[in-house]
Amino acid sequence: MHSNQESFDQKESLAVISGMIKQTQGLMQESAFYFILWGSVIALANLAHYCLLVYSSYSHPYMVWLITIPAWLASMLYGRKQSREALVTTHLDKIITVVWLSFGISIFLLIILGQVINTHFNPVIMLMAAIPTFISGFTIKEKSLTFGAVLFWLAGSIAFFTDTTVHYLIAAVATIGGFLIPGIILAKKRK
Amino acid sequence: MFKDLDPLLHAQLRLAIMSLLMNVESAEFTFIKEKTGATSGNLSVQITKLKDADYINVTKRFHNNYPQTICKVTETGKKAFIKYVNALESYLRPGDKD
Repeated sequence: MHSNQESFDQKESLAVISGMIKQTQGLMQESAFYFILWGSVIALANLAHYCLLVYSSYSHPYMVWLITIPAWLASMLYGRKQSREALVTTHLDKIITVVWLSFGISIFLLIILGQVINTHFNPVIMLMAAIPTFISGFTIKEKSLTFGAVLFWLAGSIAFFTDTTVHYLIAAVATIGGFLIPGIILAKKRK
Repeated sequence: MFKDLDPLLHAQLRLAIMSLLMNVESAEFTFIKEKTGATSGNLSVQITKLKDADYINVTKRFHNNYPQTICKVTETGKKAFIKYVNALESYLRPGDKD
């Protein structure tokens, strides 16, 4: 396609530039793994937390959230492997990573600060989860993720009017619909 | 008077490499080769020229015992590319001629 000619006319220059822009359109790194992993982990933790609160007298039900530690490790290892293997990294890949990282930091702080002042921010967390999910859905043009974001907004809004115990059940349903199902759809499309 | 076109960028393959890299964060040699349709030898020569001009940053890494060459546009390269596109516009818009 490209010869080694040292110069060519201006219209050809524009054709080369626009041709290369087209070549990079729609390139995005695979994200199904993260949605499946975090969808399963968060849904399981929420369901376990709910069950321990309702059906047991265990005094530390929040311990189920320790399951997120291996999930973080798995995410970091997979991310490292992915960046090593990637032949190309787009600006959007970088932006999406930063958006999810910011979300993760905010959630971590909300949970820690919630413990300090003995308040549950579950509805706020669900509303916040909608933001990166919506951005991801919009950028990779995946409708199930966009619907997932809407589900998070709905679930977060409903949770404001329910008892704290029910928050975990609502969050489990929202996570299955917002992360897990879109993740499975993304993985199937990838195949 | 027309603005001068950067001779380093006003060559088909080098412009293709720069255009490609301007649109991504970083790209591996084989990806650039596939998208530009250039031969490995020619691509290596042009990448070296762009690297020597500090238009791109080239790093080497190993993946599964195979060497990989990662290319990324530098700030100098970004400025040069924008300047080149602006100069190109002045050629294509006759009304802007001084």
